Amino acid sequence: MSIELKNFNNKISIVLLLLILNNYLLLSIGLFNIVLKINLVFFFFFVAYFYTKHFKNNLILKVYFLLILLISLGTPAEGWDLRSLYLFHAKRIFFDQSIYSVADNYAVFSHNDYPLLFHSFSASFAFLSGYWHEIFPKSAYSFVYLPPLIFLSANIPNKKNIIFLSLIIFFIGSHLYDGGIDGAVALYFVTSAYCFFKIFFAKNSEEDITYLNFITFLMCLTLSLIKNEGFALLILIFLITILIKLTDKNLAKHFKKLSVLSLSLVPFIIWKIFCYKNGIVNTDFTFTLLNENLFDRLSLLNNYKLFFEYLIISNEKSIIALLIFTISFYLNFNIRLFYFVFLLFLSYLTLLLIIYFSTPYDFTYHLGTSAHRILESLTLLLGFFALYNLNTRALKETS
Amino acid sequence: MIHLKNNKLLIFFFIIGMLQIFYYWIERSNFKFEVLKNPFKKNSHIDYVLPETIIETNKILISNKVKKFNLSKKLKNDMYSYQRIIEYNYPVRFDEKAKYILVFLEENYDCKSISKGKLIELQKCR
Repeated sequence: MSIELKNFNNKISIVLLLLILNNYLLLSIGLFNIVLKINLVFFFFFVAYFYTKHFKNNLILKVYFLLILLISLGTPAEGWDLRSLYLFHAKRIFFDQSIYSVADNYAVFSHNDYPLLFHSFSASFAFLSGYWHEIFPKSAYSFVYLPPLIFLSANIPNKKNIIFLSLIIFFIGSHLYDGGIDGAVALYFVTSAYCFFKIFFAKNSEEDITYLNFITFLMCLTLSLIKNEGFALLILIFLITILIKLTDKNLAKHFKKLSVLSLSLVPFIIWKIFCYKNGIVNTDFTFTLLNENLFDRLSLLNNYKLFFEYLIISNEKSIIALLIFTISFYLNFNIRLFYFVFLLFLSYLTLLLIIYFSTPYDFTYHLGTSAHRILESLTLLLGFFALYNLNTRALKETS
Repeated sequence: MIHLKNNKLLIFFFIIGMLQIFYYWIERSNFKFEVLKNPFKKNSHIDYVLPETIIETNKILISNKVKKFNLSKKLKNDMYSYQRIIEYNYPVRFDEKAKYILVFLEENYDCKSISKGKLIELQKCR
């Protein structure tokens, strides 16, 4: 892809992310009027612009996404998470004309503590239509995949583009069209991790740096505001980067950049303070549960067996991801990339272990109902970086 | 597309991608052309998703202009019905102190009957 086209894709990606974030900002300050609709019309305009401006550029992504959008628009809103959590929050924002109405903690099952970035975006689809319905607002959860997809496919060499898109469909699967946002968490997580690797561990041209810093900030901000898991994953990216930089003894050199990027955590923290002040807590994980369940379960060997069985052994996507990751690094052992990805993988696996071992629900039930969704971040991480590792140019550029 | 012409491996992955999408389309989604024809339909093609019981609660609550409702024990204890009734009927709210209560027809509730559907009844308690 030429530099001109790459810059075009980067710009489109930035604009779409800004419009999604701006949508949230407008709703958070109570602007439910024409401004919100114009913001969304701009979003559609830039999607159309991306499709038409350089028609042949990124054509496979355009074809794939169009098909996914058609499936999304042709599928009724079903699925527990979509109805009880995501669309329900969007519906509440639409009818209550506020993102703060969750303060009443109505319908506790809907996880009122979740950040509302994508649900606000979904609600704005209904605002544009002028009435509440489910199908069109549900498609918002497909549109949110576009910015990271455009960005990543522009930054991966042409020939790997198609393999990358095949991997995305394989690892994220039905979440691309059914409104499940765990796939979006996985994609934004991998994109943020890629951006961090590029900024802190690879050599970049001046041109790349201009976009990279800004887009990384936007990706981090978005990731933290999708779901609680997104925030946790972002913290892990920060911690692993700091850890590697500490061992390299050059953390001070990158301290300023890390500090600026850490500002992306602020909106999530503000949201959590708002929830805390209104007595809204997460029902799946609290520090009290750590004491109650975690230590008891840690002492039982069978729990580890179940944990790894659900997350890795009996999940074909995990096995395939681990396999291609191993083959890729066997062929090209980029030590820095390996440590970065493997530490992210291990730290997230450890975090999952703590969360599952302290669950208030039946251990097997909780694993059985959620492990396949949670896994997407891990499998996509391994799959994407296995592909990226085979990018020989990137290997040469790695410092 | 130029790359596709030159590389069999890329053609292979392009086909893999397309096959995956078609697999999801046909096997893993509840795709309906009826829905695609009008994704802006006000009732959101809800009859494809929710059982008649849930849809009927909405019809009864709307036609009787009820703002808050309670649920019978049987409806409350059925987690699926409980959550679907609450999310589907919003902005009409569930409230345990509400005078109006939704009950299954076969349940014996001795409040005043307001409206009856095929499966669900709305009653008013003091």
